[in-house]
Amino acid sequence: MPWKFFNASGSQLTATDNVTVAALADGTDGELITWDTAGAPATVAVGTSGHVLTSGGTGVAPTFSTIAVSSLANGTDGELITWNASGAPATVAVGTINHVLTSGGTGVAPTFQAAAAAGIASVVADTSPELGGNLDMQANLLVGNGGSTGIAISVDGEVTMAAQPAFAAHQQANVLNVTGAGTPYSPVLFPSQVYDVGGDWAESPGSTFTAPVTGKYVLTSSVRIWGQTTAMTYGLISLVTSNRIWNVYTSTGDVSVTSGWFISAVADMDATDTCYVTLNVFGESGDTIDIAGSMSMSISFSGVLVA
Amino acid sequence: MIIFPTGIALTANENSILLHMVPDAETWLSNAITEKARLRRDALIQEWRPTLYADASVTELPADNHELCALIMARADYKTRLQQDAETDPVESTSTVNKDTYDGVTRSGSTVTLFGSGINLPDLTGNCILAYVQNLEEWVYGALMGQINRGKKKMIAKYHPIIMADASVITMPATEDGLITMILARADYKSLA
Repeated sequence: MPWKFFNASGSQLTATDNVTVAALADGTDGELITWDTAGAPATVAVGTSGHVLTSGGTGVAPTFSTIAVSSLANGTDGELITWNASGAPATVAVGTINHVLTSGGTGVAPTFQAAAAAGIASVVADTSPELGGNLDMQANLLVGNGGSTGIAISVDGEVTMAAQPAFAAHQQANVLNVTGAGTPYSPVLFPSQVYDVGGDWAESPGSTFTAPVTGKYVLTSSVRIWGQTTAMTYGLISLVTSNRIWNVYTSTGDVSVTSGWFISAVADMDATDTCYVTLNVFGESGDTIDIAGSMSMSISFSGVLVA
Repeated sequence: MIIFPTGIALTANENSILLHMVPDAETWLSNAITEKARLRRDALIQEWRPTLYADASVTELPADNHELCALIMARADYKTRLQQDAETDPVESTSTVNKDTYDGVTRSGSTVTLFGSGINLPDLTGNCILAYVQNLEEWVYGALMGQINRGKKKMIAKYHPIIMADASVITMPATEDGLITMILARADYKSLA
């Protein structure tokens, strides 16, 4: 049987009369009253703290939920939402293209700003860094192990290594009776230094190059002799490196001309290995062969580290 | 094996020049010899590996570089550099150029002796070097005199402009050794080490 309600005078209340909150039946803390699709009273379940009541539309009971982006008021294209120092919502102004959002710290709204131009501080931690394009060293050098000299590349692509070990020296004076009967002229002397990058060349007393590092060295030498006769059987010019001797054997003598001999090698030299040149002529009755010195580089010894 | 059983004598300037380049001359030279031996050991193995593979009598190889090196040196067809040179035609004479360079320096007065009790090398270390080098002491002389030459040149290259710009210097020695002595005596002298 349905309930009937009466006021203080004993008159029955109708549906349009007010019902005080106190007259409502007890409910669950935090719930709200709604009506379902049949028009009957129903409750909205207790929500999570901070959630807001969101309509489900006709036929669906409202619920407490987070705010959907679509529920926000319209704003300006490109702006962002922040909160100001008072805790009130505020917007971050639209930035310039490619600018990055930069914090202003506590109490200052963030803003869009140009990225700092500091560049890459270090790639030490990257064990296999890759480039997406050419590495332009500008006028700087490619150096190693904290050094200050290294590889330079010009705008036209010329590569120079100002500290790469290299030397050249020559003999300007005649040196008489050095070989002929199989006596080696050792070492051939090149007392006039042309250049010596790194200080590895000793022009005197032994005209010797000492390798500063282990590597492959291109070594070349030329000598010009005179005094040979038809008795000469052959000649031998050598690059004497610590690990091995590089020899070039020459043909028999020709009394009508002087002879120019040349030798070159890509020698494997270990750090502190040495190299010098020797000359030996065989067949003559005595050591009558002379070195024909020259202001030019016809009696020369040079070398450079290549690998 | 022991080389230089009574040590290597240097002039005071030569020793100072070495110390211009390295903090400790003996340590530097010991390390240079050790590194040379390692490089020659590896080179020897690399050169001989094809021969060992092609030798049907070799059925297994040690997995240790030192043992492999010893195995190579024990072969009947192995020859040291000196043995190889003796068999060439004409015979390659044994070089003394580096020792001659060392001996060309007069060492009277104040001298310093490195390795006073000699340089004691494990046999394999010495033999690895002797696979390629005619004479161990000749090689050490070359290393030593090369480093001294390099140090001398670097020292002069650095201090010559300083001396030229020093208004208190009126004249300077006309010999290399004199110039080195002058540089070493300067208050602003600092070694590279």
